[in-house]
Amino acid sequence: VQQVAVLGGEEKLLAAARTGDQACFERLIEPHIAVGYRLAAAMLGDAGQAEDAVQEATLRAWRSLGQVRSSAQLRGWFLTIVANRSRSMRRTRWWSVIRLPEPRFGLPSPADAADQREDLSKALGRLSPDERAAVFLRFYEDMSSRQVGEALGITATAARSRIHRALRRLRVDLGEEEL
Amino acid sequence: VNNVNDLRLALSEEVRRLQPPAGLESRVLRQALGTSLAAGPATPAARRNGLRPISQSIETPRLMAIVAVLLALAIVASLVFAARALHLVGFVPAGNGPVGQGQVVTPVDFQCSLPVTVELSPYASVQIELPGGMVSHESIGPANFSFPSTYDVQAGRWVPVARSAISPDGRSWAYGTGMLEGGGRNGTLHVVDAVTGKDMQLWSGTGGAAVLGFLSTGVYFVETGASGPSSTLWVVDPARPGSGRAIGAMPSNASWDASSVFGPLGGFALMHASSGYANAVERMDLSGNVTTWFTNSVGATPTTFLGVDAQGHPIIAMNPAKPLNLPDGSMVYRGAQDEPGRVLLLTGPNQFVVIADGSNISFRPTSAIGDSHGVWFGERGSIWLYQVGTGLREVFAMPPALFPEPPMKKLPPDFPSPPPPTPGAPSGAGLTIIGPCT
Repeated sequence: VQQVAVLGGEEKLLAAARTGDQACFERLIEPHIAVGYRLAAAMLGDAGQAEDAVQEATLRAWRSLGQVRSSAQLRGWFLTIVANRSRSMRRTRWWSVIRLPEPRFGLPSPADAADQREDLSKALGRLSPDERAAVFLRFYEDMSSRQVGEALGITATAARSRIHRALRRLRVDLGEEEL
Repeated sequence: VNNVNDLRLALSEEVRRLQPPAGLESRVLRQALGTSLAAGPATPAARRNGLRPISQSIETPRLMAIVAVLLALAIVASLVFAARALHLVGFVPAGNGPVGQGQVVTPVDFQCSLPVTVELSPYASVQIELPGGMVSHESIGPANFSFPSTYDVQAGRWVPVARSAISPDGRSWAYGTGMLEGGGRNGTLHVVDAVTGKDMQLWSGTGGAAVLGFLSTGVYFVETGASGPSSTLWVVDPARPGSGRAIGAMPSNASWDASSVFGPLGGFALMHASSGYANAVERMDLSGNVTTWFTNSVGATPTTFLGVDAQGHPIIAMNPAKPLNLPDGSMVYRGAQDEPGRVLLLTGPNQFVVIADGSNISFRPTSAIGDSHGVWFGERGSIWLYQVGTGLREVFAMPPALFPEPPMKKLPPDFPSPPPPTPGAPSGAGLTIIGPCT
């Protein structure tokens, strides 16, 4: 009952926000800003740009709120805007000097480099932004493949395929888990 | 082989590393909505920030997107086919001819022709005759070019690089390869004949290569390796492939990327504070020496490079910083980008000339280029000129009828109406100066 009440309340908030009520829009969107920021950070690799991306996505979300039919769609829809904005920012930044952090244990020697376990942080950095976003949403935000697909504007099958491809590159064994 | 827990741990560490300062939600809401809600859609700040009106927003229905992709593919295919059929490389100007008479705001006392890009879709390259103000078409930009797309005035071609990567004589342009996400590798540097399209490799290395500037002394580029913290500044003589010379390590505390500028005095980059805004300008000369040229006395401010003058001194625009303290203790800059900012010409370490003090609401330039006449500024609908002694003045205004902006789609009824334009604020299509007035 409580959940229904909450859902009913969110629908009312959405209806009010669509009529131009700023406070209602803020209440609706605020819980999703942090996850939007983390998604942008995963795609852009830069805290300042991630905050810019989520800020502009918030403005766009306000402008386009009429497209949302139900409050249940809000998170996926907002993340789609964040992902699109992050992609756009990457395209605009036509190149960038990217510096990797200092290796924690020093550089491996050529002789034993092949035997050393892949550094996952570096490997994550080598994924494409879209692959990194898919992995992040699936394994950090614990979204289903369907939700990942919704957020990234692709089908659930394509999302599963993208995650599989990324995991292969990361040399991650899923074990008992399923996508 | 890693397992899922390793992956979750790595993701957690990555998120922790990129964690923003406290107060993210309130800061985002206030910066995104605090001014824009009141102002409604498509405020000047939103337009400057690249936020398009709803009709062009990224949330276009999927069917429209598919249709757009199919159309784009058809256009690309037809252009490629046409180029091959004509044995041409690159984009050929659609045709020359007069467009119409522009408005002379303040006449200049010399004669020259100023090349300008009109930023509509697609871009248009025009020549503005001064002091008369006649506008002539030179070329329409190819709609399918990716960013950046620059008109090479001397060669009469659109080229897919920034203006800084075009040679001083305009006959060639340079590009690098191998810049990848997370660090570059196996990069190469190339120079391309702007007219014939002949591509020649000048350099190859273990890291990725990105061009900073193309000067008469050579192509300057940065090499960034796949591992390790440093990047290297290189120069190579385009007349002598394989003659690359490493100049020195790039300083790591400034943003050496597309936001930096490069000229005869070397490169200039912004140093950013934790707020994301710039608080200083760093210079790396052509010998690899690094000095700080400017420190913002009022703290970090939204800052951009507009260009360089004829000698290579950088010109920066600083939006007014209006700090707003939030209840959670954090601070935001609110409404700053809706107002004109200061424009400074940096002439040396801790030396600068104030070109605009931020009091003129009509002056909000987006680009600048220096030549023997002074420094030219482009903004929405107008061209300005700064000369030592004379100061800053608006010299030309583009009548909206010559390059009308596409109409904005009608907003849904439940959205607030856009406010009337601020009287005196720049309006019309953006004008970018792309070469000296000759």
